[in-house]
Amino acid sequence: MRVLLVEDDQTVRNFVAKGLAEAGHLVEQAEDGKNGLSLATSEKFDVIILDRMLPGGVEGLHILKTLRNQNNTTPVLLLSALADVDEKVAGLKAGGDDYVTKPFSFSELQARLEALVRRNRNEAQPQTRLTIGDLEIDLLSRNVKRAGQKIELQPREFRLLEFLMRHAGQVVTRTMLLEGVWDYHFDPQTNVIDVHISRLRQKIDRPFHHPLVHTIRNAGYMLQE
Amino acid sequence: MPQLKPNLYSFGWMIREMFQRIIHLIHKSTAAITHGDFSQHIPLIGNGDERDDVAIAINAMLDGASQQMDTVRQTSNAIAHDLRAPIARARSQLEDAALYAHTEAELRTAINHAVEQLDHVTSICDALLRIAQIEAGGRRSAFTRFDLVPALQDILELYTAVAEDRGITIETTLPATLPFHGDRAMFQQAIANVLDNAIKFSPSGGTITCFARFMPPQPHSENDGTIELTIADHGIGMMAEDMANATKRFFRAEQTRHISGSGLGLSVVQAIVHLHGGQLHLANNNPGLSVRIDTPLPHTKISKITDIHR
Repeated sequence: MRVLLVEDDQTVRNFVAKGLAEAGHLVEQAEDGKNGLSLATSEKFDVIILDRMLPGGVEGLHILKTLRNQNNTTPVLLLSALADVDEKVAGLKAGGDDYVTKPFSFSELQARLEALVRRNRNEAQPQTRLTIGDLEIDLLSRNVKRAGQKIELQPREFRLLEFLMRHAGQVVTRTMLLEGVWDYHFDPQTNVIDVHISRLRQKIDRPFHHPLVHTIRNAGYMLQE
Repeated sequence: MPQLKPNLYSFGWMIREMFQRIIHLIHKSTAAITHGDFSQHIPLIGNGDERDDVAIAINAMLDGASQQMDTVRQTSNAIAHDLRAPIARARSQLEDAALYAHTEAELRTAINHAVEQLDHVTSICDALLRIAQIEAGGRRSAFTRFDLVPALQDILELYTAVAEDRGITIETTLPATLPFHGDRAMFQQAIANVLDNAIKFSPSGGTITCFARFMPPQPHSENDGTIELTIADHGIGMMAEDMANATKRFFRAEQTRHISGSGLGLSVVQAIVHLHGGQLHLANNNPGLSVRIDTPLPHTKISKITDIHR
């Protein structure tokens, strides 16, 4: 995908650009708000990574608001050291699609970027059934089947599986699961997510030949055939 | 009555002189405070008149400010210490690797360990910012009425799996509904921190009890009753003298130093409970620790709380 990266800190910019290029994405870079704004408004991107506090008199939220005023719906991920709940709310209200605070891990940023782009593409057609390999779930009847065999899941387990299936083939981080499945926005000290994943695995993977839920080291999990 | 005139003058002069003296004393004390000396108090004259009242009020203010300054100083020292420790570890791991690592694998291991230490620094900063933000009180505008029972069940569901995984049982006693006034997400975080601790300090095979109830208002009370929430474990417990310090930032009891954590969990709980006008009580559970959170329900004209509980 084509990514615009607006970030004034050279170390952070190089690090992100390198990581994304290595993952096969095309990255355009802007080191100040003015350049960022002109690139964002004149060219087409799949996703924009936007720092908030930028030199050059044009700050991140201004770029974002300008885009949204022009009915430009390109997904925007805000990347900022402003970590306050109120700052996050301000960022999302201005039209941001996700918010990652500095310091961050590259795997978290990458996972969230891919989820954003995927969501943007999927939003057009609402789905009622999701399948991956021999696993299928029905979002209306809430039935889960693997290899034709019915699997009983608790409501939360169903939501966890649904989240993983909607992001099939992508890395989802523990934070993404905590936010997306439980709607919690704090950092639990214990490995709560790992325990819930392991319970889900008992039901959907254990009785079958090959596993679908994979652990991605230092990053999170991925549902994949 | 012309003879009153000189008296009025002398009375006015007396008042003027009295104020001048008070102002002079205040000036002397404030000058000392400007230079950081909070011990400088305004001397009492001892005749119990208005001058002493002013002096007593100002001295009390000075004592309060001085105590707060001490807390800030102690907290800053604790922050510096607790941030230095992981930074020092990261630094030595990196320097050690730079000097002595022979293989790429060794280098990578050292770098990963250093990153973990820095992540720990970040989580400490996050918790501190969170406490500061909660204490600033701005979030109170987001307070709403909600039923605490489903909010509790949600968070219990998240942690029950973790507890079971470690062979710990969580026993829950909740009424059908519990009216509550506050910030749902924030209060859930407080409960999560308490549960997190209870699980962390419980032995395998142990039991954690979670109990909540509505306490009707006392006559002439300033609230519509209180929600009492107790989470008790049978873990290693806490020494009586540690309980008084447990909510202080970075406090970690001697016997828990080997267990991972930031030492900020209960400080966050305390800040959240205070924001809700509540009280946090720690008690011995013989064995284990019992954490009780009492949160008042503010008066509301439209509330039907008493109806719910009749």
